[in-house]
Amino acid sequence: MKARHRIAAAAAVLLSCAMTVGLAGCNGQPPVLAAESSSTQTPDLTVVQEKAIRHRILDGIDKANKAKSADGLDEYMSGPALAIRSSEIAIAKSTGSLDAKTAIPSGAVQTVIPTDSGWPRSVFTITTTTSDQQSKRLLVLRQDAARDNYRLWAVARLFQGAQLPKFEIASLGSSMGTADDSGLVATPAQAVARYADVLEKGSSSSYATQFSDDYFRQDLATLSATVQEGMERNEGTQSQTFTPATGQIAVMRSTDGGDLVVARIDSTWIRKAGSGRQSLPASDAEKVLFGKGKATSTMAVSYVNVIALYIPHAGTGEKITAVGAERQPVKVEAR
Amino acid sequence: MRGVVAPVFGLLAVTFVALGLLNATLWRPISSVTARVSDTGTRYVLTDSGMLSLIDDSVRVTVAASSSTADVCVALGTAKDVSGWVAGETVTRITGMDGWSSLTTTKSRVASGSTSATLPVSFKDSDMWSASRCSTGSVTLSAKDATDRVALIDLGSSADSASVSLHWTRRTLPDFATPMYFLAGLCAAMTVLAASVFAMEPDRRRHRRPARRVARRHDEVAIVEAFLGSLRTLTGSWGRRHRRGVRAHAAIPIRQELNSGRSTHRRGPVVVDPSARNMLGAPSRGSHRRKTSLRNDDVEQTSVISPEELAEYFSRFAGEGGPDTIGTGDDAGPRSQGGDSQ
Repeated sequence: MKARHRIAAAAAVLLSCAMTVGLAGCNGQPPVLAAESSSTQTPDLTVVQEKAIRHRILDGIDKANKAKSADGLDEYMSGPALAIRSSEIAIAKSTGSLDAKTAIPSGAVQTVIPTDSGWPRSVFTITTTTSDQQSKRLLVLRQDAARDNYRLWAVARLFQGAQLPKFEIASLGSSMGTADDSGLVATPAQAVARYADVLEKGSSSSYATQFSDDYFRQDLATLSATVQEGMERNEGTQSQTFTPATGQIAVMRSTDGGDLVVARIDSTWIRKAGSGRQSLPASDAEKVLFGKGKATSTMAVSYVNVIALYIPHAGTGEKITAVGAERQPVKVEAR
Repeated sequence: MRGVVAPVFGLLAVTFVALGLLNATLWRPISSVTARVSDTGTRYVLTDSGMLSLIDDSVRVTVAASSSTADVCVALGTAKDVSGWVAGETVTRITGMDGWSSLTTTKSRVASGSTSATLPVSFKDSDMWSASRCSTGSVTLSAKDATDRVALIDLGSSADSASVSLHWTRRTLPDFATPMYFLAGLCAAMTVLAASVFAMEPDRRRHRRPARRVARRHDEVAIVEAFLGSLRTLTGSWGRRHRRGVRAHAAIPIRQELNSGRSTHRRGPVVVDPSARNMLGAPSRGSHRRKTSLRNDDVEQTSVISPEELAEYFSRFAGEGGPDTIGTGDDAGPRSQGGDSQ
């Protein structure tokens, strides 16, 4: 009887101890990684990263400006901006200083960061006004591939009073567009081609009514008229042809359904002097670019133009507006 | 109730407090977690999305190459940027944890990108990383908030195997002690209740009954005696002589009452009217009754005739048979219902 009691008591104690093990705190199993549910679009860069990239690029460009040499500039610039800046530096080498229009402020008032996961990627940044109260610049920073860094692809000086569309804040990111975006008044590629036509033909172009008047066209028209007067006095002729560069276009979708497009348009200005005269470079810049060439009766000046267009949504029925532009002669040759 | 249930709850409370203390000290979950994998074999090692913040938001990534002169780099970036950098390569992906101290990996080939670089930059110069660090032999990178970041490790072009470890310090640990303390508190409360309120006689819990002149039986025990008795019973089987329990038995007082019944019988007639009992309860009669009423048995309250009265009655039967029985000892019930005596 005693032994059974003892065994029973021992068994009871053991059982209760065994049950309390379950009450002991353990680490358990480590958490399992949940499958990726990447449906939200995140911006490709943070605001801090964009600022660091912009400063790096502008510092590099500054160094090249100061050295008045375009060597190593292709590490920081690409596309039309590289062509324009190389020409500006070449001109500055002989004139002694860069033109005032080449100033790019380092501060930014707005940054439009894409959410696209592929390449190439473009970041649109609107800078502050310059220290001498020139207008703001629209910078397009572009990363061509994953293993590339961002480079300044285009700079357009915004027109005074130009209305830019609204974009998502930088921490949410905006979506990039393509050259064939539909749902707009015209696709971006079409809009650029039509604008080139309007630049060439002026108000007699068939697309002139689709574009609202802007400072760039007015400026060009005035310039053409002045040169035309001069040419007529000398019995010469002049003509300009504008050709949009294929594939050199950056599109960003705004929140109101429209697109902001930055594109490169190449133009050639051919001036023929009449009655056996020579056609000479028309400006200091052209003189420098022409250098020691031999003048003939025909002079061809190649320009790189960068234009920024805002294309509204198809339903609004508004006109396409140019909001910024840049123009620089890059080559002067006698033909 | 007081003899068994209260000590049981008390022991449970003590057990839970002990378990709670153990859970808070000896069995506390570990706060520092380091998981490691070695012999990766490919040039690029990257973590899956969410891996860096698996245990805690802040993480420390350490890479140790097998050769101390190799350049190793580690960078943090978004998943799309990292997969863009390693497009077209075979990489080792860290996919999860296998137990608390090792990582699971898998080798996979990343799809090629559509664009090729025009001016490729080195790993640490890339604009895409939010943080990056390069060193020879071994490198460590800490991140305070790695919730949507992925780590990419570049072991260099002459890549041999390396070991990668992820270290987290958990800031929120699971708490197993507090439920134990809570249960201990509940058991302690139950002990107190079982010893006091639940062990009270019902008339004490509801309303007081009218005072009874008969002596109360002492069949409920004191708390200390109850604990000692239980402990003695438990330890008694371990070798000590098995004593008779000291529990007071209800039979003993009854025998005492039976013995004393004869004396009341000699004192003279005692008129007991059962219908005088107030079945609905009685107002409080004073503190002197409290002690005695606590020891009453429940059975007593439900019968009209109390056991003492029955004892008296039986004792009178025992004394019957003498010539003076008619004139004496008239008690309730049978004799008075027998009709008038002449």
